[in-house]
Amino acid sequence: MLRDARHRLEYLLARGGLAAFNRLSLTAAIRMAQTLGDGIYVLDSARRRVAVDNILRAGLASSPAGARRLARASFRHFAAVIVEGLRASSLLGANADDPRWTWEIHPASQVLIDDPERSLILAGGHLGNWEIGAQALAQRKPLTAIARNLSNPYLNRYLRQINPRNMIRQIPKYGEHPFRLLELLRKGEVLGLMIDQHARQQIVRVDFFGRPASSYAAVALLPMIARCPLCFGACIRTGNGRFTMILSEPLTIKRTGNRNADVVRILTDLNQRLEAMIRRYPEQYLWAHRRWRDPPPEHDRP
Amino acid sequence: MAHEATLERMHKVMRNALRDVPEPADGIAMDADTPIESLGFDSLTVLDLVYDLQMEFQIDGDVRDFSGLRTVGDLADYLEAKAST
Repeated sequence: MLRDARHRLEYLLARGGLAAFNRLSLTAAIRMAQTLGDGIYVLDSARRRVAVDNILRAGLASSPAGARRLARASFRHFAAVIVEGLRASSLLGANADDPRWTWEIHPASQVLIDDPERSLILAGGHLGNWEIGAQALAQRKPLTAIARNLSNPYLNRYLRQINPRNMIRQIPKYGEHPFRLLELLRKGEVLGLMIDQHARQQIVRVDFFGRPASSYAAVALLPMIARCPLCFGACIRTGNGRFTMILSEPLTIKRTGNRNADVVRILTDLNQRLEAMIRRYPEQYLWAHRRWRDPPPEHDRP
Repeated sequence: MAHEATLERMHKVMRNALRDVPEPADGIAMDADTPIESLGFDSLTVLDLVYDLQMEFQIDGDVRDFSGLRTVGDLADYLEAKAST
């Protein structure tokens, strides 16, 4: 009952906020959202603590005051990401030479993107504006991502209605045929997967900023079993509505017969790439996400 | 139709993989007509099964062929055909 009331309130606030934002220019909307981000930073003490704690654990600030500054910048960044995501249709350059977009794609990966027969697995994290980056890439090659529903059913329905991710095909994690991902890789498409989500199943512990973090084995298993190239990617914000899309070379995928060692090696490589990118743009990472959570389950302990 | 030995090896791998599935379907007989999607795998956990089947049957081909398989029987036939090539 209380939860339903909260969900309705969130929904009404989101609708009202969106109606107001849509009347503003992009710069004004981002400025207003960043002010809201500041407000959330102050009011949402639980998320603020998680962000500050994560930054300190990652060693990206030498003092709590420094961590708080970075956490606040991250909240402001995330607010801008939401506004840009909702305005995606006007920010995606239809032309390759759109001055708002810079593309840094490794030549070997560019070949894969240009070939309609070749599929590609794109692994990334909650860095920069990952949503709009996926949409921009989807303009060049069809892209599918695994989507998770929001816990708020009203917001979910509303987002489906306005569909700000209209360039991406989204498939739910559950409710699809289990072989759906393998099927997608037959079709010469990009499959986008996030590597920095806390895994609750298929758990592999891989170092992230020197600390073990629970990761999904699937990101590494998929390229191994499907013999499909795997790249790391990120879309960095370089200004309001301006982006640099980065795509690495295809990673070397070796299958030695030792499943766990192979999975850990691939995930470690991906995490190191993400970590290096975060060190360059620390304020653009979603620090409020609880990347390091519970202690390892009994069966996973050495 | 797949041979008994193939079915036995496949069932063993499947039962093993199902141990790691959070909510495996109860009492599934894994008959030839059993739909693969009724076993309890999702699109991520099924990758462990595919990996293990590849190892067990020494399949080094294009496993994207798996995507066309719908029943346990289809899977057994596929594995037998692949293993014999």
